[in-house]
Amino acid sequence: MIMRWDILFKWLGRLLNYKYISNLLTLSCFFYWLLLVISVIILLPRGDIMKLEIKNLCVEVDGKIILDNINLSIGDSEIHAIMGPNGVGKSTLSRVIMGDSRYKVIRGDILFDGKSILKLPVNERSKMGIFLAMQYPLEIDGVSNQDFLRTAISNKDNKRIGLYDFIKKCESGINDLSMNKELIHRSLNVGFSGGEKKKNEVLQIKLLEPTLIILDELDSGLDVDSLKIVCKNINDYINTHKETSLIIITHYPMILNYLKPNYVHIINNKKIVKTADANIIDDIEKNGYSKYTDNSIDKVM
Amino acid sequence: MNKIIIDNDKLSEIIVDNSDDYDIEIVSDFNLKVSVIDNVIGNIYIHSINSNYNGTIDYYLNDNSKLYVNKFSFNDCCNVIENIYLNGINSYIKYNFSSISSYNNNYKMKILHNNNGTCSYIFNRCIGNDKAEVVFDIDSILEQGNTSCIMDQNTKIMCFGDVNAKIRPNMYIDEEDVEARHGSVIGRFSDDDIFYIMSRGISYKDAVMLLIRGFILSNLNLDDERKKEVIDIINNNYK
Repeated sequence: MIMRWDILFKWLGRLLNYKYISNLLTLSCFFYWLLLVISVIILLPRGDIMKLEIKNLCVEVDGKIILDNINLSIGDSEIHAIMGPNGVGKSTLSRVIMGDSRYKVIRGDILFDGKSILKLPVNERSKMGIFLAMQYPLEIDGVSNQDFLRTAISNKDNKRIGLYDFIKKCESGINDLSMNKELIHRSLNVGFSGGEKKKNEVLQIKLLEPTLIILDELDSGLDVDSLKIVCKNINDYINTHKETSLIIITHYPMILNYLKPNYVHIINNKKIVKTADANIIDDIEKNGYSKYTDNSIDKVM
Repeated sequence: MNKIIIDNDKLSEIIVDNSDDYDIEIVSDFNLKVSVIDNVIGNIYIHSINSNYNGTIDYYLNDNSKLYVNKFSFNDCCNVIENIYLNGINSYIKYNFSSISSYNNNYKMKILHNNNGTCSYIFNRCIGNDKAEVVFDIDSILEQGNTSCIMDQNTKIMCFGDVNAKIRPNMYIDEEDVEARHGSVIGRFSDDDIFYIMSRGISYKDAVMLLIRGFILSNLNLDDERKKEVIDIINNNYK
């Protein structure tokens, strides 16, 4: 067979001149670069993106400033304790992070995983992974614990969780927390003891799997045995969810024996006045908060 | 189970002479008489959806009889008069009424304790929407000589929008040997409740729906099937 090179080149030439071939080549180049850029973005280390970053936060309620120039950075897997005497704004800070509309942010920003959350409603912040375990979990008569939890999980997953899967998930959490199984069928927190309410908050953590947990005075209303159980469950959770960060708001150093913080911040007079490592806890236990005044600000993270 | 649909205003009479359940659906004006004979326990479930009506219900309870009434109405426009005659010694009524309404609702109740040891537990719950006008007039009456009676009335109205709500709880008591309680609330769901629910990832709409379902259902003692019917009505019709 004689090879007709002339015909081959003639067709190849025609092919290369076709408009769609050149368009195809241009498009391929574009996708090549696009893939390259996406890969670089994905493979880049998170760098200085923090789990939670509070910048120059100023908050008022009824025209009165209650948090002034708060700065706080919390990285992945870090445990931070926020301490201070009564009424200095610790719980307020937790509610502002969660998005309570009663508090007006007049300056500053709150970033979660690098994104500003100030304009997001409460439920969207929760769906991003923020969980506030409240000091006084509310009692809501008529709303069954089961209905509430199922709705919460379904909203998070954007699909209705099946009853069987829900019961399975709940049972394991209830056993871990040594809770009375009947509580799941009762109205939300109605008639629960202080300890049962706090355990119910931790059950919600286990079911909703947040990546930033704020514990607002978890230790109030808990006896020593319940405190141990609750803290064990939180420790187990953060050990199995490595990216999860924790903020512990408390007056008392006792809970910090069970949940060991990397950093301790002291709030006084609307501001963070001291940031230190966990060694400061002993000093607080011995001497209280009196020496931590506004003048002693030495480091704000 | 006895199913009854009331679609005219002629006098309908139910005599509860055994411990059976009655399921009564109201679709138009009505005039109903319910009598419970001696020593019988009766259960009545009355419901109506998207209806307009005027109606009267008279309950007559004889010696040692008990009547449990569960009543649910959704978006009705209605005027209802209910008279409860506790005529028999130790007769007892537990009346639970839950309603959701965007229209005019007038409820007049009279509970007459006409014998010794009679008990009345009256629990009303109402969600008022938009420009609804909701009025509850409840009179509990006890005359001298009828001793060891218990009178309890509790009414709550939760408002959404520009609702005109009134509760007039009256207890006319002319006897010292009595246990009497009453409570009335007109208000809105608490912002703290909504914040708490939303902080678990639940949208505002779903949070409010949870509260409404809880408010309505916690006042009704229904089996699972009827409970599901009520939930479906709320979910499918409530905007």
